[in-house]
Amino acid sequence: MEEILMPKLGQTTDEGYIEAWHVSEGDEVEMGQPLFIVETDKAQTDVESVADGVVRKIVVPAGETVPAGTVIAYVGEVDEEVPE
Amino acid sequence: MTRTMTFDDDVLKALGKQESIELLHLMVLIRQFEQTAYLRYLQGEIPGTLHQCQGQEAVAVGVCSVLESTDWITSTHRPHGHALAKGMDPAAAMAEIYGRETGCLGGRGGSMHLGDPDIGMLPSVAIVGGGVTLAPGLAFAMQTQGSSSVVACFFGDGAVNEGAFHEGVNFAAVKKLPVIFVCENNSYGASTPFHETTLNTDIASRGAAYGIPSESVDGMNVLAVRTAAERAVARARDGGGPTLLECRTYRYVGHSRGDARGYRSKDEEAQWEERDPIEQWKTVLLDSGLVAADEVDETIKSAKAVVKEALKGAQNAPKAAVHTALEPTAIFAAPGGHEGEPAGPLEEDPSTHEDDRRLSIAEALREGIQEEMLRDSSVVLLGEDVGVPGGFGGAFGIYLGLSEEFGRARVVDTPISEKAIMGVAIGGAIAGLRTLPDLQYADFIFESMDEIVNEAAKLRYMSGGRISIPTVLRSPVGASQRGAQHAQCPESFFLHVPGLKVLCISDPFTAKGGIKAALRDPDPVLVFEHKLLYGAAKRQEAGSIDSRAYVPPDEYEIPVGQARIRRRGKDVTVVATFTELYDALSVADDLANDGISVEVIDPVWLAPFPWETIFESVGRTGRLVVAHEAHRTGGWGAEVAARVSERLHGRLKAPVLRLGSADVPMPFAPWLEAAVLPSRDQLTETIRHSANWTDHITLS
Ligand SMILES: Cc1ncc(C[n+]2csc(CCOP(=O)(O)OP(=O)(O)O)c2C)c(N)n1
Ligand SMILES: [Mg+2]
Repeated sequence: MEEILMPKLGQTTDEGYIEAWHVSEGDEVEMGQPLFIVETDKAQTDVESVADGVVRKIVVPAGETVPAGTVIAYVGEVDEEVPE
Repeated sequence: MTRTMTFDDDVLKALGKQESIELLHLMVLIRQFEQTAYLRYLQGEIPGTLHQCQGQEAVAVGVCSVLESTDWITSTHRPHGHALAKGMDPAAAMAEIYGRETGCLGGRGGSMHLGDPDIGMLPSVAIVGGGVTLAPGLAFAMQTQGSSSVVACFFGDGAVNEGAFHEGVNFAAVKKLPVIFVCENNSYGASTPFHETTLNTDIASRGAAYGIPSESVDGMNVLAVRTAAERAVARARDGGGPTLLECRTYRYVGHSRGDARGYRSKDEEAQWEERDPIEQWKTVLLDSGLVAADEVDETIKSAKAVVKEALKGAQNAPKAAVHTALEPTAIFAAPGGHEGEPAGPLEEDPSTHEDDRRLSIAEALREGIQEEMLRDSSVVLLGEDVGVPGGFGGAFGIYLGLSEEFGRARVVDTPISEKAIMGVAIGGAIAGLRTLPDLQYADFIFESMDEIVNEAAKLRYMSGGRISIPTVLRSPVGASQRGAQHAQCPESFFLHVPGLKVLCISDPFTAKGGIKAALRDPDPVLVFEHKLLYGAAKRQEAGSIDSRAYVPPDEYEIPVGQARIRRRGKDVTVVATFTELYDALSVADDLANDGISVEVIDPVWLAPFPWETIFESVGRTGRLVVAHEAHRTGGWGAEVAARVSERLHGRLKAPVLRLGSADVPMPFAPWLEAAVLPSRDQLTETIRHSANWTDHITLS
């Protein structure tokens, strides 16, 4: 199971705002596929999946701001257990 | 996708199915490795930064596909592709960029320095152009050893405007060294377009400047790269010398992480991506019927699986252990300085019939070098004017006769290219020689500062302690009425550089024993000698001091880190080198008449410094004067003063006093020069101040 974290996107920002999700729970994704759009005070970027797999859980929905390093979603195999 | 790739059916057939698949496998492996590292970096798993090569895979893979495991490569700040193409285990590469114990360099190198001597890859050099002087050195060793191995030297378009490029390529050309210079021209050096940096953007055309063959190759076409590299490698193996290959390619990603690529257009990027080397090669293989679609899929799948495993390995590997950062053997192959007894005063001539054993420093050096060259056939001397028949035998005639005795393949005359001399000495030492580079004046050492400081001093450490660099640089110091650029005493600079040993030769006994110890040492040693002390028959300088002394005919060494107590005394310790040492000895005679007993120590080795000898002496006398010709500010005496104060504070009867050249460049006119140099009178006064210290004395 891969944790997808809120990246640290700049020298000056330690948090990011999730503007929108490109995928939903249950979707199959490829490594490098954009998962969600994140906005900081400086820029807007896609965060991409670090692995092939299925979006097992979206932890933070669109419209929220969280600190860098926060788990945003889990990507894994269909039969893997999702952490609480 | 546009297939710009043309291919010859025959060439493809000759390549064969297995090899074709292997090329695909490696390119996919590199692409996947880079993509994985990129995503993991963004997720905060990888420290530092990354320079990646997505888009450039065909160059690394095409070139390395025609190399043997015994051939070497040098690489740059962008080395991942080169490493994997040369056969590095992807797990070891990934673990290294994660800073893990199982990394190819134990976490001491990282992304920009990937390398592994076992696969023939020098730790990558992140100084732009740095590898271009080292690669000829590796090749020089191969040539000297009579092997048919070659060196492929990778660098970017940015590097061709570095001085190192000029010196390295010219050196390899004139010596017909087996090097393939591979320029990955991706049109940018960081954010700057190449065409803004030169009026001649045709990199291949630069080969003509050095009289070597060159080609410009489509770097998005793995077969074209391979074919060109094959020709170059064959030429190099046959003794035909180096080739310059310009491979036109493109990096899809930013220069390093955090580069938003605002300096180039999406259009330009799309045009290059249309010519993707992996997609083109896939199409060629399928269209030609050489490889079936399911075999292509299988190849891609298996390459991706390898990276997945490598990633898991890196994530789960322990972090490199903290103590490995400071291990003495990480820096030096032979870290221990001499902790035992210091050597005593020079021996007097033991008997009159050995009068011919009173040698000058020049003669003693020649004897030491000659004996070591005889004893060890891997010792090779290189420099300007060292061996030309009828020439100088080195700037101070030290090497007269050596080229006649050992031949010009071991007494190697070089172009006036100090960076190349040093780079070749370092590369040669890494690949199995013991090199003795010579610089005519120590002032010229600044020309080769990058090679000395960034390569000689660091490559062992960066390699995780897996390579050693037995090279001995000799160069003369000191003012001798030649003005500011033929006068400096730069030895202090190098105390500030971990990874170097520094030897100062002030007398003939030390000359022979010191140069022998240096030539037997597995680490880089910088040897400084003073022009006014050589006593060379050929060149008598104004102001020369007769330093002739008895030199035993026997085998002996001045062990690394051993000082010499030149005179015993009990009131003041004087630590001095070169001409100040001779002043100190004669001032000590004078002061003895006034009841001041002076102990005179020649430290001999400034790195490793003989601290225990100095502490022991100053512990007894309670007073210390340091005298050197090097400038006072930041001179090595400053370090000695600081350490002695730290160690012996409560026992000092006077502050540590220092004497050095005034902090101005050396003037030419002898009367001006004398005003800048430390004088005998100043030394006398300084020692008196120390001996009779009261707080009323104010020093300048
Ligand atoms: C001597 C030196 N100068 C500057 C740098 C900073 N720097 C690192 S990479 C780079 C660009 C190099 O361009 P190029 O040689 O074309 O290689 P590329 O990055 O395109 O692969 C620069 C300026 C450096 N590492 N070394
Ligand atoms: Mg470039």
